[in-house]
Amino acid sequence: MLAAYLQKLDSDKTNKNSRIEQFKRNWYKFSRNPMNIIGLIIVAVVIFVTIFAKTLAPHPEDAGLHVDIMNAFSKPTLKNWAGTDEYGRDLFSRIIIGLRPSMGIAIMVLAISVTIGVLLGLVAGYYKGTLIDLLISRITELFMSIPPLILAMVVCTMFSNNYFFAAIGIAVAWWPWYTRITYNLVTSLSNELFIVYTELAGVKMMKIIIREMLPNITSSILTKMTLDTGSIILVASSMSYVGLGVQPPTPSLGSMVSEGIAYLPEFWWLTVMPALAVVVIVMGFNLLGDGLTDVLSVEDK
Amino acid sequence: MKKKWIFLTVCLMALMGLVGCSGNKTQETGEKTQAAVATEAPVSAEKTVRDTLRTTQTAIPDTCDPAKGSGENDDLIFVNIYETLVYPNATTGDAEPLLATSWTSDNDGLKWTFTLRDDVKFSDGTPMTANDVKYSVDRLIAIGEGFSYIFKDVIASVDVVDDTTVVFNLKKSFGPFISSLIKLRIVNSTLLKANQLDGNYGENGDYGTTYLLNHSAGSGPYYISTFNVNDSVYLTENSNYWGAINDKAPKSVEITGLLDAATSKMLLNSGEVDLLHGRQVSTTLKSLLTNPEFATTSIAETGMNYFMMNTKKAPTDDLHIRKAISYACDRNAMSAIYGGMELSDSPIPSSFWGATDDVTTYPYSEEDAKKEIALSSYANNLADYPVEIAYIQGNGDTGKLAMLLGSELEAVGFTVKISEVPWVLFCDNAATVETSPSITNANSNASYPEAGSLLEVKFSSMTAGTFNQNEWILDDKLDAMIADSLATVDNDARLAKYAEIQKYLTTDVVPTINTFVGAVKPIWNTSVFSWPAGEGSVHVLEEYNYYYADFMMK
Amino acid sequence: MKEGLIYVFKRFIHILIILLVLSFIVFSFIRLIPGDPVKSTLGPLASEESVNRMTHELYLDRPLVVQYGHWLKNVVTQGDFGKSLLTSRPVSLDIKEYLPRSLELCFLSALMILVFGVLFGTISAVFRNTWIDNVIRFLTYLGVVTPPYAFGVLFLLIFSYLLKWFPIGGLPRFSPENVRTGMLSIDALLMGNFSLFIKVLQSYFLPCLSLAIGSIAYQARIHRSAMVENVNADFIAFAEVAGVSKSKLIFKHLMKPSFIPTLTVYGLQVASLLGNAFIIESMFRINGFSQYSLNVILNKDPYGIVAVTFIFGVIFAVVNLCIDIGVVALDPRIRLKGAE
Repeated sequence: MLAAYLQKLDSDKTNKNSRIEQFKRNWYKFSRNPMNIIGLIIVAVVIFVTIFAKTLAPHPEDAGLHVDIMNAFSKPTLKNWAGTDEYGRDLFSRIIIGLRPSMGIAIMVLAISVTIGVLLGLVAGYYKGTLIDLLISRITELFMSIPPLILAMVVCTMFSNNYFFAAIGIAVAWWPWYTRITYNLVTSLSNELFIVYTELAGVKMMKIIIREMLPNITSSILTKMTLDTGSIILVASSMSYVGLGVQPPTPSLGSMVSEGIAYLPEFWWLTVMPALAVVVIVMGFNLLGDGLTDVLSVEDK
Repeated sequence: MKKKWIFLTVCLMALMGLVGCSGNKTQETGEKTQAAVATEAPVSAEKTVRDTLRTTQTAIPDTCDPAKGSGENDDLIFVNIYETLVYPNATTGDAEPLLATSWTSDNDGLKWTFTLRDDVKFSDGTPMTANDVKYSVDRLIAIGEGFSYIFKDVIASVDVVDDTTVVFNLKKSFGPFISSLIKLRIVNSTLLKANQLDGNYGENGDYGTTYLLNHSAGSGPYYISTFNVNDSVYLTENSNYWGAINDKAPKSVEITGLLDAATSKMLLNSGEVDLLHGRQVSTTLKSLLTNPEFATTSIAETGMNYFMMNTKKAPTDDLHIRKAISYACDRNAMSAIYGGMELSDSPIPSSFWGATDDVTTYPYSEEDAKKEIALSSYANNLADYPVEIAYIQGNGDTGKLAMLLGSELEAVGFTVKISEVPWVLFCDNAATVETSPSITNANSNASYPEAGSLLEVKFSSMTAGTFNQNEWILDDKLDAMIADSLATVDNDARLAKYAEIQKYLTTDVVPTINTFVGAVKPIWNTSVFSWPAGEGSVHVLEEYNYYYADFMMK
Repeated sequence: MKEGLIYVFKRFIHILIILLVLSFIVFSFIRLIPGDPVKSTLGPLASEESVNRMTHELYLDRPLVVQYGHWLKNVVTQGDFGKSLLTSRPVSLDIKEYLPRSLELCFLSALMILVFGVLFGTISAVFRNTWIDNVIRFLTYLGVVTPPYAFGVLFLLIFSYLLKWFPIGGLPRFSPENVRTGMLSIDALLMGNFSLFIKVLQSYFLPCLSLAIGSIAYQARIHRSAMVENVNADFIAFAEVAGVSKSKLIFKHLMKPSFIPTLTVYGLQVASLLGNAFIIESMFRINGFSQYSLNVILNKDPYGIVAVTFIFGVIFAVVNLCIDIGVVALDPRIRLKGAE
């Protein structure tokens, strides 16, 4: 078995075909559940819309300093699919353009927290049982103990209230979860036979981590990232609900809901439309994430 | 094994309890709401007079200490629990006797002698004497917060002659001295001394500040019976009140801090609140007024809404740019957003004593704005200097004003950035020139209804670095003019000097756009009570309209 | 038993160290904040002397180490967490006033999460792949992806305003002499006033539900999948073969092992309740701890912020400790980490 494994180490290239095979198998499993496909479509549409928001929006100027008081509070019509707000701006365009900061924050948060989190998790896992491990887990615990919304708020009030610091704030609270998941994966993996064998064979631990452990935890991390995108969008919308993060007139989904509440129930679309957008987007990411979890966890078994 | 069953049973019981509770609730609420209406609000059912008024303010201050508060929310409570030596006339704002029956001055206005009423009692029954007046002044100046800024450089000492005679010695002559006394609230020195703790003020300990965190010590028609920090204040009628309170006045007043539009709307509609103080956005007002029982009125504030242009930061450091922005601003459209407000050419509301009608501000004209830009030093590279317009989060419709100005400025060629800033951050940003935005929108109010007060708190160097003055004018000439006018005791001479300052500001400095005269638009349930402001007699000073002893419950 | 005590003690020491480090970090961060909190609290017109006096009183004019040492000394010797700039009162008094209400809110929400989460999860698992399961799964999905503030508004509008089943936010007011624990439901019971108790629960129902609903949905999903996973486990098959009745099978053999993942997730959900409560608190006008922490942060109230993070840290640690102990109680095979 040891010999076989060492051979595998050297012949990664020959695995290419089997990887394609595996992908096909996974895709088949994934596509059998219509929910997964719906999730995938929503996410694809969201990403597409995010990238081409300015071109797709019927009234892109409404994302900025456009005031058309005469046209304010129009019900959803063919001209304004989601109605207009108190300034007469087209809500549909604002929702589409409001996706941008939400997605931007999600991407930034994930980029920061996955980098820091996975790195620290790997290091802690590598030095399991030493002082470094202890230190890292304590720091992780420290950051976990403060609620993310509160932490993000502290950052926003301390530095500057804008979309960049909102993302930093959420990331500060988010990375410990990646450290924890990486750490758990690494420590459980290090008990697996193939790792033990590799170690016995005298392969450097660093190499093991990079070549063996990292690929093995990628699927779990990716799944978590997909699910987290939804959660981060929710947190970011809660923050913009209280006025932190993206500043007006730039639209953001949370602040659109909170501003709309003042006009309930007469002008219901001001609240319902952006809230619906949040629900659909987050649902898309969750469906996709769940689909991935199903497929990949079965694969693990 | 046993443990598990215990656990399960506990779970099940908790579940049943919860379901049971919620079930009960739905059944009971039917009766409960009726019962609640019957006990708490008999007005709708039996037409008997209800004696509790439930009203709101935008916020409840952290303490109702007259030596600390100086904001609108403080004043609204102060006028009901504390009294002053003089009272501002409802229509002219001129000082009339209240706790003082008469006063004389000699020595060029450097010495003022007041004769006090001898029948005034504080809410605990202690009679008011000249000692209380002296204590109140000393306390205000020693603590150094709130309205102390008016008096700290003016009053040298207070001498008690006898129980009903008190002498104020001034450091310098101060024209509006008597008008400014409406901010000198008299506290019960006996009560505060009895409740004094150790503190920073020597033999006066903490000056009773700890006690006043949740009590009151005044002679007004109400006293604080319950105080919940940042939440609500309950006032109860003062049975020891020396004056007359009308029989129909509410026996108690519940004031809740409430700003959220949706909740305000629901509470007023469902009869859980009788009066919304008046900082609602115009659409909230409109939708509430569809109920025939609700009415609204407009109460002018002692100040204005201003767009304040930072005179020390590019590009608004250029006079021509400031003029251009003034031209580009359509004040009529802004007034329309608020449903019609009084415009003023002078930076001082025209109703003020000392406002001049001899100035004209810059009329809305895109062409003139562009001409001014061309004259400025930024004519060629205006795009490199984005203009940031900041407004305070949750400050009614001011966001719309900022948005409108922003789109108007973009139309004449500016690059604009709008920011909505939480209040504390807004104050912080104002602290230095660098962090002060190019333009801010905020309301500034005078302490007493005279042009000098607003000129001082809005334009003198004293308030540079605060939200009151984002302009950073720091103009020695202007400071000297303001100080000189305030020191002028002769009324006609002071009027002329005030006019001079307003002219100078409007033509030479142009730091500010006078958007419009501020006003609050309270909305109330006419079936519950009536009040003077609702009957058309609006007091010139906003807070005196919320003098609950004048309210008549129905 | 002894092991358990040692474990709790060790955890306690850890918490203490974390809290000390945390408070020091917060103190040094507060120094970095631009803007003078004292000035912005005292207002634009305060005299320089009073600003200086307040700055001195709060130790803000001395080196960080001195300030921290002074604070720590007062905390240890007198339990004094300093004075809040926001409310001009000792921070400990503020916490005593605000925290119980929020704890009550969170406790009731936590109860809802456990009860409803497990209930729906179990129903869903028992009726696996029937329409009941599908409906529950759809609803739980909706619950997870909808922001809590949207639920808050919806409930307030429908159940309070239109149907008038619940009050439009706010809590029943208690006269000060009746406030003993600060938790209104307990105070009402202590007063022996049962109708008031019902009224308190009624006021708490909607905010708790809005706060809990996302977690209920999540909990239900976790519990369902844990149970479904166990259905396929060997020991269930054995039990089935052995002729164990269906209800006994579900409640005895399925429930218990399924509670382990449920409980772990539950702990995290409960620990995060307090931090997420502020929108719900402001929406339902509950003047609680979350609101207070938001206010101290926005006002840069130094001692307030430290105390608030302190409390959050303690709550997180305590909840986690309870969960760890709970997991061990459920499955003796799992040993407490660090007990050896």
